[in-house]
Amino acid sequence: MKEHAMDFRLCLLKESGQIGDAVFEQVRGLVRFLEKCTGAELNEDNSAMLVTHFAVAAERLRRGEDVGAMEDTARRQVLASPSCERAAFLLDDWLAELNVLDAGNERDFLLLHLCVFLENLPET
Amino acid sequence: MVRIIVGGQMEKARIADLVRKLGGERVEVQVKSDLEAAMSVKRGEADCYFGCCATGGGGSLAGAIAILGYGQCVSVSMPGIAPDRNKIEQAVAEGKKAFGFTDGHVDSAVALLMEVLLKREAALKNPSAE
Repeated sequence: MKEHAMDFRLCLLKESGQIGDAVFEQVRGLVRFLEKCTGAELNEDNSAMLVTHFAVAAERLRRGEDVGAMEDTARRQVLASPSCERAAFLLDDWLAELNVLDAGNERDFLLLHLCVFLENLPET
Repeated sequence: MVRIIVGGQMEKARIADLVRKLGGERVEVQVKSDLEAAMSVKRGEADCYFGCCATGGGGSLAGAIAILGYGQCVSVSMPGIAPDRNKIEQAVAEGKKAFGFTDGHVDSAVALLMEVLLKREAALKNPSAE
């Protein structure tokens, strides 16, 4: 796979033992998937937060580790986001690729980051 | 003077404002990307790294862990788990330099961290006062 601007960050996470090879490739796949779906070029400015969170969260899912539940107020804000429906569609597609049937509490946080990412994209 | 650098992923400006408000002339604060901020600590240009994210254990510290290693980093709050003074005091005493917390705990985490860090700074300046 061709090198991408976000690979440096993912390599740092992998080399420091925060993610394994499988998650490294899964998140690289996510980056390309989002670029294809949105037409945007992902870089440090627009997706450092998204890529970092997805990588660490995917590793937690792989290890079967839990994360606490998102607070209700924050959860309601995520669900009210104008990008929520699209974000949920993209997220479920990616989770299916990972064979994750139930992301548990992680799902709300993943959705939050995707909503923020989509809302910050320049309008086309 | 405690030199604090705000990295992490969320609420950076708010955290920096809080640090300035709580620390006044006793602190110097900068805001950078997570990786740049962690590099500043590694190079000795900053004493501590503050990072915030939605879970307290992802984007808040991932960059710092990558640059500084797990041994210098600690999550002081997570969803549903508020920051704890004893845990922060212990982490600072152990020499931890990077502190992560959730966006829901910015006020309490920064207040406790500043209190503990400034107290340590004062003790280092004047050990006999302890």
